[in-house]
Amino acid sequence: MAFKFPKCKRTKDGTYGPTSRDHYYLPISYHARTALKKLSKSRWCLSEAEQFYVFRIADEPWWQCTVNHGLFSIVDFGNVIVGEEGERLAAFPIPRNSSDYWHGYPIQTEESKPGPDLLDRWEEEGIITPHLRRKIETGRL
Amino acid sequence: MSHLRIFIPAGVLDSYVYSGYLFAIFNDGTLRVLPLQKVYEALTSQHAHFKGTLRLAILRNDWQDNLQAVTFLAIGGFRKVLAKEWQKAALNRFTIEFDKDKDWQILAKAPAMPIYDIRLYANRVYLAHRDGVREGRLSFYHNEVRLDNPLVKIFDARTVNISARSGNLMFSADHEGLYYGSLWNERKTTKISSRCYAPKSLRTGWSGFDVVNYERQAHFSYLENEIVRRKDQRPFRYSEIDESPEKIEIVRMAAKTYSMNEVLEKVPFQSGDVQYCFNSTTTCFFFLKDGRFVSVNFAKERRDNVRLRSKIHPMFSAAKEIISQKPSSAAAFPLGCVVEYFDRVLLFHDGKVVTLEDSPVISVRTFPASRRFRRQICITKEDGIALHAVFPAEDEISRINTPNRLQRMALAAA
Repeated sequence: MAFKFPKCKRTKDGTYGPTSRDHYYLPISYHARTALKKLSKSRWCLSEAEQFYVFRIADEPWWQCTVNHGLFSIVDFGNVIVGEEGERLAAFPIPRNSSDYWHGYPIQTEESKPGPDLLDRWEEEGIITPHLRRKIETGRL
Repeated sequence: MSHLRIFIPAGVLDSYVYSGYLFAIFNDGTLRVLPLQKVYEALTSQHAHFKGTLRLAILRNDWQDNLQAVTFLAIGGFRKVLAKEWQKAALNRFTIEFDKDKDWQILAKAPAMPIYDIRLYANRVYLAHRDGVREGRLSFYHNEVRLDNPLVKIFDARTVNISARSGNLMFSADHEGLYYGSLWNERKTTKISSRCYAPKSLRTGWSGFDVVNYERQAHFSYLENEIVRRKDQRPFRYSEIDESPEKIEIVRMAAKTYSMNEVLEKVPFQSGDVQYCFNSTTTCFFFLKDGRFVSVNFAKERRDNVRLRSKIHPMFSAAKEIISQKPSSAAAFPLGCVVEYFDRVLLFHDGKVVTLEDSPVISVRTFPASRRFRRQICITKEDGIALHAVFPAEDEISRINTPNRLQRMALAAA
């Protein structure tokens, strides 16, 4: 059965949130599914509200990767495709200023992936299975 | 097309078929081995009426590769009877349980988990993991395998893939690059060059004695190597029953490197259109972003000008909806290929598409260079190992029925 994202409303200034950490998510136009295809910019296949959900589940438990300095997210054991090119992981770089809005985009594991610290944590907490971890680490997800 | 499926329940992370044995990395980090003869005996004790078919499927995939087979398969109706028996056996869902401690023999303890890749080659086992690569030499006895020495660390970088051909091994260390090892003039362990041959490598494929390095799943570079035929030199220690005694040594790795755009120069699509690609010795396979699955042959008439031919061959266009998804991995198979998706494994063979597994798997392996196991597909799942054996297509049988030079000589001598 397809994953059902919870509903969420956009704020007046175009952001989504706050999360329990008081963080706001701002969708970026060139990562939107309707954006023109650019070689260096991945595109979501999710709506803005769905993108916020992907961000929120990474932000609230603080799925931070110390190696790549950002949050990483995965939905429902990777069963949900988040990007136009079949991506199943998303990255959210830490904003330069704590008051800045967060943004994020889908990632291919062959280009960028969470470091072993976050993968260890995900595996311990049952967010991913050992075989999914192997696929992430070998760039096959 | 019919394929036999034999399922062996076990808690494993990866598995590999080599020289008549099933090697597996268990969840507890042990490298264990199970003789395929044991699998065959256990199965035939329950399904005695499929004894012959199971023997061809599990132990002797080379049954059609000799002069006797050429003679027998030329007899009208013989192939049909064989195919019918195979089909009958394929209707069974063979599941056979083995005791982890009694039946599976422990060979070694993996140095670190998870193991990213396991490769059995030239009577050696290679384990790739986050701390590098370990190697162990194997000796085969009757229904028993021994590790001659404890696993030795031969490489330090985090390695995600190992491939081998003619005594030469390629180690893909992701962002740390591509490295080359050789078994020529072997002493105790594989000699690995300290030079990095490409800045990034996820996996490699062999095209003859050249290497295709995949920096990304949809992007490669082609490394042309200089080779020398060693007529008098004793080759490295290979498996005499399953591996070819190749006597070609690479003397200069990556003598010339071609970019993907150079190799695709004549092809009517561009590198940006590719979603996933892989290669066999003669052919490059492309899953394109528009949903097409095509193959293109290498043109290597001139050694210094490697290109793909301009003619593209559409493959299995009927399954466009299925193949438009991005593959996780793919492996060449006689007259086709096996493709792993996130949630299933498909066999593309003889113009048809067959679902081998309909749930996520850990790894998919084929053994096209093996003599006895080239028609087997070894799929590792979270709950066990699925061995698939595929009956040869009509075209493959026809090719066998056309005697090659050696067979013609033998027939003439007879």
